[in-house]
Amino acid sequence: MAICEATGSPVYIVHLSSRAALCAARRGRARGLPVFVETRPLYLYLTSEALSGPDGARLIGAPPLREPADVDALWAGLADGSVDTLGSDHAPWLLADKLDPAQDVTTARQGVADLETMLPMLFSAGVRTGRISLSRFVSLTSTNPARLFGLYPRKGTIAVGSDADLIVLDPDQRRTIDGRSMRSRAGYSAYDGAEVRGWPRYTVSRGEVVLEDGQVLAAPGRGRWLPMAGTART
Amino acid sequence: MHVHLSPPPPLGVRGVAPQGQHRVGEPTWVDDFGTGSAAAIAGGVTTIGNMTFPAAGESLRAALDRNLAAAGALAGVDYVLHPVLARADNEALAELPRLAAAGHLSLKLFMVAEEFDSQADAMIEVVRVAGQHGMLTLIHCEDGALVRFAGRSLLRAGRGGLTDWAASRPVGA
Repeated sequence: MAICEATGSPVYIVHLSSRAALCAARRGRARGLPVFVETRPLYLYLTSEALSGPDGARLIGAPPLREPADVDALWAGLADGSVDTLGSDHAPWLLADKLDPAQDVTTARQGVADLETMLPMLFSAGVRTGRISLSRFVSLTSTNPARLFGLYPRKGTIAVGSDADLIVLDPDQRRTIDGRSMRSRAGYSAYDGAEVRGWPRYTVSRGEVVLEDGQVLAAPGRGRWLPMAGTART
Repeated sequence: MHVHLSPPPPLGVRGVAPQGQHRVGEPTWVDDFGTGSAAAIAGGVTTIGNMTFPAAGESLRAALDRNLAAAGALAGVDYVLHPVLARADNEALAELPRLAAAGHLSLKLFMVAEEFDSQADAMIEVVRVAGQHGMLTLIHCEDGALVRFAGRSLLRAGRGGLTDWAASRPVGA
C-alpha cells in the first residue's frame, strides 16, 4: 500500500488471503489509492486446520490457508466489491511431489491446480447459496479482470464487436470433484470429494464452441495473445 | 488471469531453477499451455494470464518471446503474459517502456523474495516507471524477511515440517 501511495502507480495485490490485508486494502482504496485486490479459490473453501491434517501438504500455497474469520471476510469482500477479482493461481504439481517428506517449510512446493474448479465452485458455493449475486459472479471472473488488464471491451462484456467468449452453465448439474478425471496433469484436486452443483456445458471462445458436454474441442494453438490497452480501469 | 503454466526452458538450459521459497525462480509445473488450456475450457475459462519467469540472465522480452512461442503452439484459449521482474537493474528498467509500447502492460513482483529486499530501492523505482508507462504492477505481498525469520525459528525449534506450513507464513508477514 505504501509503495502504491509513494509512487502513485496502480498496484494489483495477487491472492490476498487474510482479513487484515483486506482491511488494509479497503483503507487504501478509501483514500483514493489505485489498489486492486485478487483472491483465489483456495482461501474461500479451506482453512489452516486442513494443512495440519493427513496429507495437508497437498494444499500448500503461499500465503497459506487462513482462519474461518478470514474466509468470512473474503466472502464479504467478494460481495461488497472490495475484492476485485478471483484468480485461479493454477500452479499444478503431482501429489507425490507435494507430499515429498524431504521438504520443509523453506522448500515446500507451492500451488495447486484450480482452473477447472474455480468457476463451478464459485457458482455453487457463492451464487447458489446467495452469498454473491450472479452479477457479482460475472464481475469478479470476467468484467473486472478484463478492465484491470486492459482487455475491455474486447473481453469482459457481451456486446456487438466484442469477442463472443461465453459459457452456458447448467445450474443443476452435480458433480463430485475427482482430480483424477480432470484435465490438469496434477491428477488430484485440493477439493477432491466436494459436491459441486453448477458446471459449464458449453464454453465458447471467439464464437467457436470449445467445450461441449464434457468434450474439449479446442485445437492446440488456436488461442491468441491479447495486447493490453488501458489497464487499471474499474 | 493468474496461472502458472510451464513453457520449455531456454535453449541450453536443462530444466528450470527449482523453486526455493526465497528466490524468484520458476519450477517446472506439470501443466503446459496445452493441458492448462484444456483445464480452463472444461472449467469455463476463456482467457488466461500466465506468469512469465525469465531464466537466469534472460531478459523480460526474451522470456515473453519464449512463452509466446509455447503458447502459440499449444494454447487453446486466449492469453496475456505477466513478466516477472527479479533483477531491478537499468537494463530491466529500460525494457519497461518498450514492453508497454508492445502491449505488455502488466508486471509481476515478489516482495517475498530475497531479490526484493536486496534491491528494495530499485524495486520501488520499477513500480514508479511501470505506472508511468500505463502498466499494472502485480505484487505478491508477503514480507520476505519476516517469512524467512518464521521459517528459521521453526527449524531452530525442531519443527518446520510441511504440517507447520501455516505457522511459517503468519498473517503479520
